[in-house]
Amino acid sequence: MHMADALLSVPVGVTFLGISGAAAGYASSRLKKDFDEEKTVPLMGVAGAFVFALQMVNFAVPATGSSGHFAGGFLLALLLGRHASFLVMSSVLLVQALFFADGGLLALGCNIFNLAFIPSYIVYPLFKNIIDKNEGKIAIWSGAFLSLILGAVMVSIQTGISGVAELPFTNMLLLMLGIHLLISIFEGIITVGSYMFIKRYSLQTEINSERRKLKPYFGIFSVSLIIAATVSLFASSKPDGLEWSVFKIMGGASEPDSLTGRFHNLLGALQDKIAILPDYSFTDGSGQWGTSVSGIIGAIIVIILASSLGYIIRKANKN
Amino acid sequence: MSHHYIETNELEYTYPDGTKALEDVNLYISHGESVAILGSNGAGKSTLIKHLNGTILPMKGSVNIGGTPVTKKTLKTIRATVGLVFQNTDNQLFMPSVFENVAFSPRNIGIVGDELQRVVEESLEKVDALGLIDKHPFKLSGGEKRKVCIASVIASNPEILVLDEPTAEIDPKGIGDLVSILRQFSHTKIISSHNLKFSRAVCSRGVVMQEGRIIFDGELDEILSSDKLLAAAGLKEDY
Amino acid sequence: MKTAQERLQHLTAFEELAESTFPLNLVSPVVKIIVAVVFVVLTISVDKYDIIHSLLLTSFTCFLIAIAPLKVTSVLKMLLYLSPFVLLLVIFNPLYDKSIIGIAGYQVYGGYVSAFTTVLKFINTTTVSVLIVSSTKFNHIASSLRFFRMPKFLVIQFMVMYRFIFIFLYDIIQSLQAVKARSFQGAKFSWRNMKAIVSTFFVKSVLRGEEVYNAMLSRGFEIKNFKMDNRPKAGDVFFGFCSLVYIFIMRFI
Repeated sequence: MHMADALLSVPVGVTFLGISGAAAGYASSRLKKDFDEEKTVPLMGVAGAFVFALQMVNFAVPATGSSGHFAGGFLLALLLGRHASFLVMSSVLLVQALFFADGGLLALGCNIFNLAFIPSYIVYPLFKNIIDKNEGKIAIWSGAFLSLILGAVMVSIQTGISGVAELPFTNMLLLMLGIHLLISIFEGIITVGSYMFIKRYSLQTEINSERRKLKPYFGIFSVSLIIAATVSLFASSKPDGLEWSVFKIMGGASEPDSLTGRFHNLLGALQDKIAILPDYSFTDGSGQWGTSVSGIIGAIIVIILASSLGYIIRKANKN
Repeated sequence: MSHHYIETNELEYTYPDGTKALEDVNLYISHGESVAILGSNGAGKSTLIKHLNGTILPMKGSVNIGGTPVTKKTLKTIRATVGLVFQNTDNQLFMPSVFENVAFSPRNIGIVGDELQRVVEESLEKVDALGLIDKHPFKLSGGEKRKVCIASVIASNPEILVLDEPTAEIDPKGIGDLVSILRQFSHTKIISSHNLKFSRAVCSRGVVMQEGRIIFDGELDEILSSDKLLAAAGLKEDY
Repeated sequence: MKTAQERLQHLTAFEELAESTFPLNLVSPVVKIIVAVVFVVLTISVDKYDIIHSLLLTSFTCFLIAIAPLKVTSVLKMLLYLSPFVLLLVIFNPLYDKSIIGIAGYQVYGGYVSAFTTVLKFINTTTVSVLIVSSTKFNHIASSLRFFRMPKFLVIQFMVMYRFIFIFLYDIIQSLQAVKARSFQGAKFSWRNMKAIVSTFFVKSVLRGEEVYNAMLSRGFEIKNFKMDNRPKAGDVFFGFCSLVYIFIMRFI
C-alpha cells in the first residue's frame, strides 16, 4: 500500500514531494491561527500514535486468504479536522518511512498525498456537510471507502507515469483495485463503528472545531482530475510500455503519444528552462553503455573496494 | 526563596464536565513537613495534588509555593521546586530504558555527559534501584516502577516532593522499602494515600478531605483514633 | 504483517543502535540526511537499463553498511520483508518488455534488465535510508527536521507521538492478549472485534495521552529545550563532501 522509491521516477517523486510539502505548509499555517498549543499538540501526538498502533492490528479479509490493515486517514479527518489530520497522518507516514522503511524517502511525497492528502483535503470536504447534518453511517463509510480506493488509483497512476514497472496501466490498476476493494470496505466499516462509539462518549476535548461549511469544489475538481488521468492512461495503456522502450532505444526517433511520454516530455522542456533538476538520463538512450561487460565487472570491483574501505574504517574506529 | 512553604487560599476547581472537585481549600504547609492527604475516592485528593505543580491551574483562589504564585508564567520555576510523582507509573515511564527515564528531567535542565550519568546513578541509588539502570520499564514489577518514577522526579533536585497514591500496585515488602526510602528524604513531603500504616510511618500530619473540602487538618494520630474521621477518610475497614 | 510486539522490538532496537559508537553514528545528522536524500534521488534517476551505474551506486551502500551499526543480516531481513510490493510489480517486467538489450554479447529481454536494476535500486535506497536512521538518535532526527524548517509545533508533535507509540504499542499488546483470551478465535480478528478495539483504544489513549503529556511537562519538557548544535564540525563536512562527490562520480562516470 505504501509506494516504494524504486518504482518511481525522479520527476514524479519530486512533484509529489512538492505537493505534499506545500500542503503541509498550508495546513500548518491554517492550524496555527486558532489552536491552543497545550491541548492540540498532545492530542495530535496521541492521534498519530493511535493510528500507528492500529495499523498493526490486521484482520483477515475473508475469502482471499490475505490480511489487510486499517489506514485511518478519513477517521482522523472526522475527529481532528482536515488540517490537523493531514499533519498527523503525514507524521505517521514519516515515522514509518524513517524507521520501518515502509515507503522510501523519495516516495514519501506520494505516500503523504495518497494516504493523508486525499482523505483530508479531497474526500473529507466532499462528505463533511452530509455527515454534519445527520451523521449518516453510509456517508462516513463512503468517505473512508472512497479515500482508500482513490489512494489505490493514485498509486497506480504514480507507478504508471514513472514508467519503471512495465506492467501496463490497466493491469496495474485492476491489481491495485482488486487488492484494496475488500480492505476499503472494512476500512469503511471500522471507521463508522469507531466514529459512532467515540461520539457517544463525546470526549471533553474540543476536537474538531470546523463549523463552517466546506465547499466541496476542490474535492470534486481533484476527483475529476484523477478520473481523467486514469481514463487517459487507460486509453493509451496498450501501446504504452512497448512504445516507451522503443522510443528510448531508438534515441527519440518517434515521439510517443502516451500520457507517460507527454508527461516526461513536458518535464524535459521545463527542465531545460529551469535547470533545477539534475540532468539525469530518462530521454537519452544510454541502454547500450549501461550493459557492457567490462563496465559491469568494473562496477563489481568498485563495490568490493568500497566495502573493504568501510570495513577498515570501522575497525579503526573501534580502537 | 527563603523558606519553602506551600499555601493554598480559597482554592476552587470544577472539571469541564461539571464535577466540582475542590471547594474553599485552605492549606498551609511549612518547610520540611510530611503531610498525608487522606480521603475516599472522589474526595478531591488528586485534584488538589495536581494544583501543587501547576498541572491544573486554579479556577478561583490561589496556590503559592515559597511565595511564588502558581500561574502559567511561573510554571517552569514551580516545577523545578515541586516534584510530582503521579499515580499511574506506566504513564510516567515513557522512555524506553530506566536510564533514559531518570535522565529526562536533568536533561531538560541542561545536564549532560558525565554529570548526567552521575546524577542518574545517584538518584537510582537513593531509591535502591541502581541495578535496574539498563532495564526496560515494561519489564519491571510494580514496586520497581514506583521506585524508578520517584528517582526520575528527584533527579532534578526539587525541594518539595508530592506523591499521588504511591502504594498502589505494590506488595507489602515493596511498601516497606518505600517507607525506608521516603524516610531518608529531607524534602517537604505531601503524600496522598489510602494506606493507613504507610501514612503513619512516613507522615506526622494528616489532612482529611471530603467532597472537595478539607474537614480535618491536624495530627495523624488524632485521625487514627477517631472512627468518624476514619470513615470520612475512606480508611475504615468495615468488611 | 508485523505484529505489535515485533514493531515494538524493532523501534527499541533502533534506539539502542543509535546509542552505539559506530563511525556513522558520529556524523552530524543533518549531513547524513542530505547525503541520503541526494543518494536516493541520484539512484532513482538511473536509467532502467543501466546496470553499471546501479552497481556503482551499490558500492556506496556497501560502504555505509560497513560503517553503520546495523548488522548485514538485519538489513537483509528487512529487505526481504519489504520486497513483496516491489517484486510483485516488477516481476511482470520480463513479460511486457520484450525489447532486446545486448549484454556481454548475449541478447537479453529488456524486461529482465529493468527488473534487475529496479531491485537494485530498491535495495540501495531502502538500505541507505535505514542505515542513516539506525545510526542517529531520535532527538537528533527531530532537531534536524527543525533545521530543515519544519514548524516547531510539528516537531514537538512528532516527538510526542514517537514517545506515545512506545506506550501504545505496549498497551495494544496487552489488550490483544486480553481479547484473544476471551474470543476463542485464534490469531486473526474479525472486523467486529476491530471496531470495539479501535474506539475503546482511542478514548483510553486520549486520556492517557494527556496524563503522559502532563508527566512530561512536570519534568521540565519544554519546546525551546531541544535546540541542537547543528553546526557541522570539520569531520562532518569532510564526510559529507566526500560522500557527495563519490556518489556523483558513481552516478555520472
